[in-house]
Amino acid sequence: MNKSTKQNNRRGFLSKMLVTGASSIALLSSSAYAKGRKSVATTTKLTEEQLDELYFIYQEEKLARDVYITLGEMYPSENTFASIQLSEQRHIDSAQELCEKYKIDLSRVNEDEVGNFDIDVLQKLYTTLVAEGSDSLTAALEKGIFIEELDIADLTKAIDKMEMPDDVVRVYENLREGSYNHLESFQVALARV
Amino acid sequence: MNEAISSSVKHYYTSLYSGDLQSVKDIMTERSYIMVLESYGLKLSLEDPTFKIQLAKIEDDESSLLAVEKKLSAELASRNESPQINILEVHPNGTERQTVEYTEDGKAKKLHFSKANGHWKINYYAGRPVPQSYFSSIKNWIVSILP
Repeated sequence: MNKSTKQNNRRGFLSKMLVTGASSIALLSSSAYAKGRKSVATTTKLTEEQLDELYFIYQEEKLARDVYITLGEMYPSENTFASIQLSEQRHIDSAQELCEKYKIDLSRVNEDEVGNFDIDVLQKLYTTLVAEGSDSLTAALEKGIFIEELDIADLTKAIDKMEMPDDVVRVYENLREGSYNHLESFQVALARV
Repeated sequence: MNEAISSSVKHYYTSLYSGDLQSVKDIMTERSYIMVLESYGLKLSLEDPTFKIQLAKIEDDESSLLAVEKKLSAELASRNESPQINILEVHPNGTERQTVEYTEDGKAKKLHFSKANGHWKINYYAGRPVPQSYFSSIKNWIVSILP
């Protein structure tokens, strides 16, 4: 799939989300994407481990979006899933831009295939989270909290321990800021149930 | 097909579902092993607040790691799962990585391996396609078609 086709597919995905009624909901972390886009510092050569981390974080953002899409379909009256899945798409885009900047081949990841992962452990997490979240709305919102806590922990690790260059750190800090907002939204929604 | 790698995949599942986490640890990179504890420990952490707190500290606190391993080992063994693993193919990814394609109870799966100190270890982070030079591509192709 060439780049323009992929971008069109992403627009198509977002349009579909907008049509399903998510357009009226504020994007909680739209700033994360906007700030991420400004990161155009000189490209540093990354180590193999750092490149692996970029590839992994990209797929971890997909995990969050895919779980929210699936749980959102199970609980259509709970708008939190719809609003955050849109925001997660922007997180995926930010992570993808970083991968492209550092010439990471993403051809093995089919971003448009919800619930399918190249990394087995993410596949396992997706299956478990969806199964556990299907018990009740409360359980589903708790899974949202779990995912955001996981994202925050992994992004913090990448920022603090991987010695990433400034442009990567800036994007990851913005993604983490977005995850804190998502976490708060899930906590508020859970308190309402 | 690389027999050592293929048998590692089967060994991974046998060890995992018998609760033998020490064997799982031995065939994985450290970071991947932590991910196994986090993902397979998810169910327990949702039911047991103490376990959840311990799971969050496994990388920094040895006693939390031991407590998590003990509880999770018992929980994994109690699942009574013994998935059928059927190895399909082993693909080289550069010279230091390989990916195994297999089925787990008929479902298509992949596990990535990387080489460290002469040993192949399961490494969830090693799935990134490694850019190859022309000569290493040819070499990998020849290796892949050898019996």
